[in-house]
Amino acid sequence: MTKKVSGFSGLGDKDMKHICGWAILFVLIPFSVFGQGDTDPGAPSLNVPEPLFQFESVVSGQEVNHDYIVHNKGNAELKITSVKTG
Amino acid sequence: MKLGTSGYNGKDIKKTAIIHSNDPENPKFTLTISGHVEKFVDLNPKYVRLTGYSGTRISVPVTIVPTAKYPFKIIDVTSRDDTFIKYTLTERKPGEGNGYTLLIENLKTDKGRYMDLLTLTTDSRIQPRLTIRVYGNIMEPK
Repeated sequence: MTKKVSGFSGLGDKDMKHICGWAILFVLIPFSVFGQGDTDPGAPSLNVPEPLFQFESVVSGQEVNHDYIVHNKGNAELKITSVKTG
Repeated sequence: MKLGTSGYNGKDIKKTAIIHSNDPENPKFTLTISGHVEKFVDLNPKYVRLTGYSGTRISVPVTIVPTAKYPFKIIDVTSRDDTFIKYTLTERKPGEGNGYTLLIENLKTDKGRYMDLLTLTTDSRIQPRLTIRVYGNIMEPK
């Protein structure tokens, strides 16, 4: 009884189909992951989950303090060059 | 972000800050802070103009009425310059309503302009000081 050999010695058609299937999966996964976001790989992406802050009413003269959390959702270093109040 | 609310007595306030960054899609990102500022005091007028001819009596009364939610007493009044004005603080009588009347009078006898700042010290921890700007413009009689 002989086993059909193609390409790789000792591997049959069934084995090759498995290998090809996994290979395609490994090639496609990175593309699908990077393709999902709008961000180019290698670019920073500034993200502030809550950019609008509405405070409870305060009395005149009282100071209001709020910390905004800034994330970088990109793949490169985010550089904040300046913050200007309007 | 730090937000001062003096001067927004009874008004809504909205301020923004813009973050400039190297994010190619959002090089300018806007942060907003907003809310309502409750009234602490009714000052009427908010600033004082002493305008008139030299040799005449020039004075302006200012009423200072604390809001019911934030009552306070005035414990001292000082002026920054104290050269051209005289001021007298009196508590309003029951028929006039609560609060104070601050009478500000001109003392400058010759022609000229001046500016002064009155500081009212209160016993309130919320606003320990109130300020009233005074602008004087004394003209020669025609």
